[in-house]
Amino acid sequence: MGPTSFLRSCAAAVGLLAWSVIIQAQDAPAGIFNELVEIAKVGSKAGLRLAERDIAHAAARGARGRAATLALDEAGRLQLTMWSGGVAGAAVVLEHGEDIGAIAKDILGTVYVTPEVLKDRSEQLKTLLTSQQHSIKVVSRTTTEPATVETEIHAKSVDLVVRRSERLSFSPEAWEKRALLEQSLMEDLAKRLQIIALVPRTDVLQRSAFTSSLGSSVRFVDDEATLTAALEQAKRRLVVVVGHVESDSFVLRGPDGNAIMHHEISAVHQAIDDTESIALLMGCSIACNVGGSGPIDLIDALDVVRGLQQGLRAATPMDFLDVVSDKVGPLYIDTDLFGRLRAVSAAAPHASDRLAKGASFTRVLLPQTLTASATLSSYAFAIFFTGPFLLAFSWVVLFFFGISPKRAWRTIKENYAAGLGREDHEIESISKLESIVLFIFGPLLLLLTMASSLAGFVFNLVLLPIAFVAHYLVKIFAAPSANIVNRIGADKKSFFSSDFNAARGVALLTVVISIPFLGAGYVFIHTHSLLLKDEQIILLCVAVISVSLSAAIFLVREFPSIMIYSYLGLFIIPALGMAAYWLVWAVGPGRESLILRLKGLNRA
Amino acid sequence: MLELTQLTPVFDVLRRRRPDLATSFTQRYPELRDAFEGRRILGDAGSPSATSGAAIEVAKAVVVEAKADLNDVLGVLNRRTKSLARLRLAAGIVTALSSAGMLVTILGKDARAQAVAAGVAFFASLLGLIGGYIEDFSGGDGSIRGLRDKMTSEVRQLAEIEGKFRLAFALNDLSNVSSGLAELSKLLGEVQFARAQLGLSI
Repeated sequence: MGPTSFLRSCAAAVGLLAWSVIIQAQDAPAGIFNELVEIAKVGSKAGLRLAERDIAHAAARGARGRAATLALDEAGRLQLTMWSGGVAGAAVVLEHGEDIGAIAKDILGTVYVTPEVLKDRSEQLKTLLTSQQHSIKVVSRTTTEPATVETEIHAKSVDLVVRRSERLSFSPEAWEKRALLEQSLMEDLAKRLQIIALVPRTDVLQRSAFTSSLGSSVRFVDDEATLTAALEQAKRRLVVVVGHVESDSFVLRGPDGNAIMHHEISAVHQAIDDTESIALLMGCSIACNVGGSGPIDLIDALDVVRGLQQGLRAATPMDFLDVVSDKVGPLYIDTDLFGRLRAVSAAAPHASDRLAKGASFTRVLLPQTLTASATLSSYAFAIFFTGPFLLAFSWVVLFFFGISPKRAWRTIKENYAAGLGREDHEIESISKLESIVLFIFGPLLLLLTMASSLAGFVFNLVLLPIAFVAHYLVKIFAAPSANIVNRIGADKKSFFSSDFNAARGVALLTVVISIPFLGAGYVFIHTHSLLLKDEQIILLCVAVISVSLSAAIFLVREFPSIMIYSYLGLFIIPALGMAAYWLVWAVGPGRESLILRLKGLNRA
Repeated sequence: MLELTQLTPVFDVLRRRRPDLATSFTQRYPELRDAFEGRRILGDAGSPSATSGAAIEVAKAVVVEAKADLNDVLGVLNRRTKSLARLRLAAGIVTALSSAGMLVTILGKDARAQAVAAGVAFFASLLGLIGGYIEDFSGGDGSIRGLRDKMTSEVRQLAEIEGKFRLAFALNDLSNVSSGLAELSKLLGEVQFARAQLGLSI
């Protein structure tokens, strides 16, 4: 091994060692990291305020005639600026809450406010809206058009709302978080949909409308016990309760108009909280009477059916709400819809999740995204998967050792003849059954043996010693090193612990895979008298296998659904390996080694 | 004043059987528009009070349609009961014949004939089982016998309601019209349910 190659090998070993240090490090208490984040947050908040104020000013400048802006300055004080014909007057800092009431009559034109002012100074804005009939619009970095701010009655009190459309309004807090509603979650949410329809048995018309449009996601309820059971069973679901509302309760009336069930809406909210679900309650004026998201006017159950049916085809929750409000009537959206939106969406079954239940390779490599815990059998299956995966790459590597298909085939025939006690020439004329055994299982077994031996050779000579040494080094150095970095605020919560935990799975997998190949590798070296004559070949083997494994890990982390194809690869890769073998055998000349031919060398 | 709009079966029947009458009512009593259009308003304020005149007119119209609707359902139930009885009778006859035939073939020791006779007997007894299931137990609520018993008792109930209405109309007693409509609505709800079970239009 020359000095350059030695240095390269050392560099690779150091890299692997560093990698092991990172993935093996225990959870370190975070200190300085948290401090840095806090400083950055304060700085970014001031910057954000200035940016939002500039946007409000730009909107006021663009408005014709008179306008005003209400924004917070860097220190968080409310600042009023009057505008006339696009020219700003002096900025006035309003120190006290009542200041705005005192000067409300002097404010003319549309008042542009920032989202933070809308959220934190709602009482002052209500004063502006109710006393002087001002037009207020909120501007933000994420929307091009200013949104109108109005007052609405919710839970029997006057609240500020931001109007998205004629029929859809948001609480200021919900408006601030609306980005979540604009993500493509609806496909998963539709899978978790549970509609609870409070419809009496005899109203077959309404029941028929529900079942024909919404199918099996509808559960009909006509008594208290069934409703309670339905709510308890709806775990991590998007629950839409459709029912007749009187005052603050769902009331179910029979065909004669008599009440047959009475259930308080607060009890429904409580049940939904207990099951970590999201509730969209569809009854008349729910938002006005009880609070939370819901209709603010009279609604028709059959419109709800139509709205849900069309809304479920939407891509985002925002589109869904647009469609539902368009069909059903005005809707008010509060933050109660946001809390578990992601959790419910994530609970939807995916192909990769289903795969994870059976394919342990996914669970081992993706512990941070899949909840199912990795078990011993998971690792066993992971090794089972990794074997064929290495097989294909190992076959390529075999070429560089001068083991061509031609040479392999001769060995197979010799072994077959020796095994059956025949002469070599008798092999040329064999029965069909024997041909199948010889031509299919012979090469496959040879390929498997060679590949596993070679993989063992690479793993044991390169990775295992490093992992072995690294394990002790890491134990000694990792935790003290991390603690030195984090000596400030050692009592704060751990940092990046989930990443460390996730990466440990990969490290463990590497070590576990290495162990079974240990004996096979040494046997192979002993049998074939392989020596480390050509360090380039060895490095090439390491590179091919490392790159292929790294690529696989990267792909399954970035694209979990690709695991479906990887799983298929379990069956496809050996088949491709066989096809490649026969192809090379058929077209290849009588030379022994492809690499030797390329290099113009001949070991013989 | 009545909360007429809560009695949805009354309006569903009128809309289905007499759309012309429903249109006429809608024009004369706009407060009943939602009910006649089949809407299911999910709230209190969605139930506007109807006038007593409207209630009396609706009661007069719906009692006639209720009788016709109930007669339709009973007619279908009777036909189905007869069909099921015929099916069971046929199954019984075939079973009896094939049993007799099987005896003959057993004595004659013809294996193929024995197999055919056994197959026919098995098929016939299956028919009998299916007939019994549909008549007595199908889907619980969908039992033909259960529905027939229920609808027969509703005939008596309807006659009582009709008498109640006649008396109320003669005495101009609105409270009895109101309670009579509620009872009639309940009855029509059951009739609607029976129609759905029988696969009739609703």
